[in-house]
Amino acid sequence: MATSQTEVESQAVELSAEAFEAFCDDISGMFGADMACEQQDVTTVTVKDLKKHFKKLTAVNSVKAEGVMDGTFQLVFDQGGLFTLSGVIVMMPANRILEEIKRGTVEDMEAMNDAIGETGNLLVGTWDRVFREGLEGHGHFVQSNSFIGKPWDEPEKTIGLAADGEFVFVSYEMTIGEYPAFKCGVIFPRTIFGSKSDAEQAASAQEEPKEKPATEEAAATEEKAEPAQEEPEEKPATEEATATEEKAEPAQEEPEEKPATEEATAEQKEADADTDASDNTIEEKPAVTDEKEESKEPAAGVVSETIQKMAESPAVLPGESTDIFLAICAKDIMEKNIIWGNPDDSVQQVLAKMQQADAGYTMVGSDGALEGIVSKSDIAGAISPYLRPIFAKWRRPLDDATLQIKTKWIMTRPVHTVSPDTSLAAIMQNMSQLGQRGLPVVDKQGKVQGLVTVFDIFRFMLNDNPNVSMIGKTSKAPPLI
Amino acid sequence: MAKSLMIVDDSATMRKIIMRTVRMSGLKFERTEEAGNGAEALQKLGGSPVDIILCDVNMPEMMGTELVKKVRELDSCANTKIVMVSTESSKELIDGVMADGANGFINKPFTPEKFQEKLSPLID
Repeated sequence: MATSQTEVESQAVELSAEAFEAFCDDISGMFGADMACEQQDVTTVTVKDLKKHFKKLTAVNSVKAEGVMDGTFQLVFDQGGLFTLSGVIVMMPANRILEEIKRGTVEDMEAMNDAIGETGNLLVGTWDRVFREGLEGHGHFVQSNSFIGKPWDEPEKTIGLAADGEFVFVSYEMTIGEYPAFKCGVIFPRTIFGSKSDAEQAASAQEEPKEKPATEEAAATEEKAEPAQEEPEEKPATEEATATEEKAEPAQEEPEEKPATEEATAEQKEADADTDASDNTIEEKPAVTDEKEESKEPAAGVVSETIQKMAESPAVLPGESTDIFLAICAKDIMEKNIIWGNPDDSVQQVLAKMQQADAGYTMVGSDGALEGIVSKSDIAGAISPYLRPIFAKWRRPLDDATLQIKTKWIMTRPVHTVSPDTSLAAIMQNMSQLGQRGLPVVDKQGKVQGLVTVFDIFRFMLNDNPNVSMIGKTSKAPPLI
Repeated sequence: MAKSLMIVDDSATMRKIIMRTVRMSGLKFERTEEAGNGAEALQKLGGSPVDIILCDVNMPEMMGTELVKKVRELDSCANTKIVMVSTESSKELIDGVMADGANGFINKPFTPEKFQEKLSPLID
């Protein structure tokens, strides 16, 4: 039986790689997502070092271990991992996941709290299985707490990590499909590898698992956070800083390390710019209140509500029930890069714009105010068939005149529109009744925010239905000429 | 013969994932129910029993282990099969819940193949 601290530590580090790889396989199997991970580094770190690794919003799953490993350790994901994993799990559209990876807010995370909690739950399940198979004397792992926010200023209170402790940090880079790679890792307090007698191990392995509330768990961790006998002596501050700098891998997309004073100033600025760390804190399954401040980023905040609706609605497969069509709104699938034209533009000018952008529609108007809409069908009806390349040899001089037809003469008006919160079900119903393949999305101020076409709906349905495979790139609209 | 299924889990996301995975496994259920905890499940079962219950272990109000015992006391659910779905998979837990009347145990994370393997024998 592995009883020495070093042996257990070595096996745990080795098994952590297996566990993360198994988690990737499990998620791939469950969700059909191509997922992989690669170990980056094994280092001894302090909370200060972890803060450098995970500067943005972070998800921390605290795991209570019993058996030969005894105590609490942490599985941690950066902001990219948090939104990618939970987004894949709730079947969020790919473009929305990418947006939230970059600009996701605390409110977005709050809306996905259930999915994030379940992701942690699945992760711990995989880890428990791998360690049961690979580590002799393993009792079990159980998720004791999940935290989302910025935990590093009050690590003991938020995630049960001793502020002055020294930890083994095994970092990984993980990828899911085409999404950007993200960072994750495991934080083992050295005390967790402490030797125990066989009798003690057997006794703790047989204890019934009981989840503790976050505060109780934090207190329990604090009690256990006494330094182990074999723990190395603390290094002088300067020596430690140097060693850490050498070991710590610079975080992706993060600025180079600064001298201590400069860094402190930068951190202060960051704290001022972001919401307060305590505001970023979301305990598992918090009560949703009406007093929640409006998000600084309306689009992301509104999407959170959508995902929340999805989470609260009965379970369905996309395409098999109307529930998902009610939960998904225009703003979730609309194309935001739309083409605009002037009422006095010629058909030739409009056609050139649409062909250049591979767009099916042109909005006619200015400053987001819509006067009309021109589809390729409108243009097809306006121009002579002899202008098409296939009939070019019969082209007559008079046909060229049709290219000078003004947009305002052929555009459709009045324009049928939908609001950003119109459900997918209502959009589809409107399209069917009106016989229209595209509907502009207009906000309360009458400004155009985007355009939903039948192709956006198809793309959404294809992306979310594992039974439909797609080869090649879906074109935005069929070519006209 | 048409079969019915109830998914009992306190996480709405997990209920969706389970439903999706069950459907991906190719198993057909004419009626599906959901419950967020054991108490809600019992209430629904009282009105209309189901053939299969997929049940989480750790839930608020009434744990899955407790639900198994309660369901086994219901005459209307004498033929209902209960399969636990949990990340916790200690031998003690599995042995205990099977002794109380569960018919199977599926570990999270799971795959459609795992559902096929565990549920098919209970449906046929």
